[in-house]
Amino acid sequence: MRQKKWAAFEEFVRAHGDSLVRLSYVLCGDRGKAEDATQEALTRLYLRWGRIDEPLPYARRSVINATNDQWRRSGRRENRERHAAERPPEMPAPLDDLVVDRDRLVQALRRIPEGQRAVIVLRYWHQLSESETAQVLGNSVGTVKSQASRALVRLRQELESDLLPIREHP
Amino acid sequence: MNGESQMLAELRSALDEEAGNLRVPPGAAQRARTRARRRRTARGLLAGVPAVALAAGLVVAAQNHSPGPATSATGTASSPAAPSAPPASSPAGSPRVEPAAYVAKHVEAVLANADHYIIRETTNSYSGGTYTSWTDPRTGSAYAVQGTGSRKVLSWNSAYFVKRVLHWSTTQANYSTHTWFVSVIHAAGPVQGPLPKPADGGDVSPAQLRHWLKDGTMRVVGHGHVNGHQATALRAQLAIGTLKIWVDSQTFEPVREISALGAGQQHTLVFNESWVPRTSHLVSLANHPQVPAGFTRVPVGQP
Repeated sequence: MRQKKWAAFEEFVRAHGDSLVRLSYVLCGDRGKAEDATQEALTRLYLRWGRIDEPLPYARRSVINATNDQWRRSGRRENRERHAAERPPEMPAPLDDLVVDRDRLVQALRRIPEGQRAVIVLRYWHQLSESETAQVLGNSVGTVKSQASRALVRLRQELESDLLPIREHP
Repeated sequence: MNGESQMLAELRSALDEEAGNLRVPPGAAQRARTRARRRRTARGLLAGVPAVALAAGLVVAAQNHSPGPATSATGTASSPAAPSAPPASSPAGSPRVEPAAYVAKHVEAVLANADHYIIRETTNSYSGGTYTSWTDPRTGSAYAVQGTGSRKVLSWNSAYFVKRVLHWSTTQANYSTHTWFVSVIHAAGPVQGPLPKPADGGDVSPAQLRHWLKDGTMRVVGHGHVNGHQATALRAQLAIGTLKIWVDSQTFEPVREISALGAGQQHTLVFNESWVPRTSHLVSLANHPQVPAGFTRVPVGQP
């Protein structure tokens, strides 16, 4: 019985471990922290293994929580928010006109609030449905919809404000 | 494709590119199982099952040991407020039992505060005589003195990034020849992703210790007297050898590091460590090379 449990858990880690560590990494941008958070999430998962019906949503949720815990502990969240507060005032600029490079996109993603960031990553990178995203985050579908909408607006604003200094000082 | 879907398509590609090559570290499942078992054991201990807990690796500290913030016996600066004592208790007069996680938590709390000090290390392990260094944990830069008299050598080491490429700089002044040189070497290519602290690329840093304590690489293995301190021993088995660190049992500051390197662990280095106040003089000494007057600069490698 115990052997069976272990084999199933090992198989789960083999199948989903990479995607979990990537999920953590895109949320925090730090490889070491992503590995730590994933390890913590897998430990929590093993403690409950056999008592949860759907391990993958549980594991994703644990990864997100552990990543946010790490982020808070390191104090980088404060720094990031302070940095965001110091950004120049936003001006409207049509996104279609902007040349959005990938690095800037990733950086902009990391500046938006944790909850919104998680929604963006789960909905548009992992391509989960709204109800799957809601299951992972423990929210209602309505909350996910509104968070996704706000997250996209915020991401767009971050990108536009990110380009302001370049436009003003070509 | 409208602006939003274009942005999302770009974002997907960007995240694929950013994270696509990451893999879960080998052995993650096994580590999860081991940690889960330890946590269950710890819960058992808190529920009053000391026999099981003892088998899971506990430290029996001295009978008169009392945990909590205290001042180091060496007279160095006092430690920061440490986490509260564990809920496990023992009958009056019996040895105090401390779970490894409790010690690790205190060490982590102290190491997190290392930036408020200068770390002084001495060793007799080198052939050139006594070696003493002062490291600034904020920058990773260090000043070191090796030997005495006309055989004395001063050195300053630092690491920094230039266009994302890690560089290491060494300035060395040699009293036997009254010469000095600067050597700069750099990594083969730029660092991808967020830049780490340059200090993390060198010797064992507080961040590294924290990481090892957290992932179980480093464990509590015993206790004893070191440099006049009642101390607790932590040991990490690494690919390159064994690292043992003694921490003061009250302040949890490191007091000795012993590294046994090589396949047969034939190279053993013993460093005695103390954390000293962060005076402007020591900060300047650790971060800015100060070559003695009258020394002549020579190319790297020239004696």
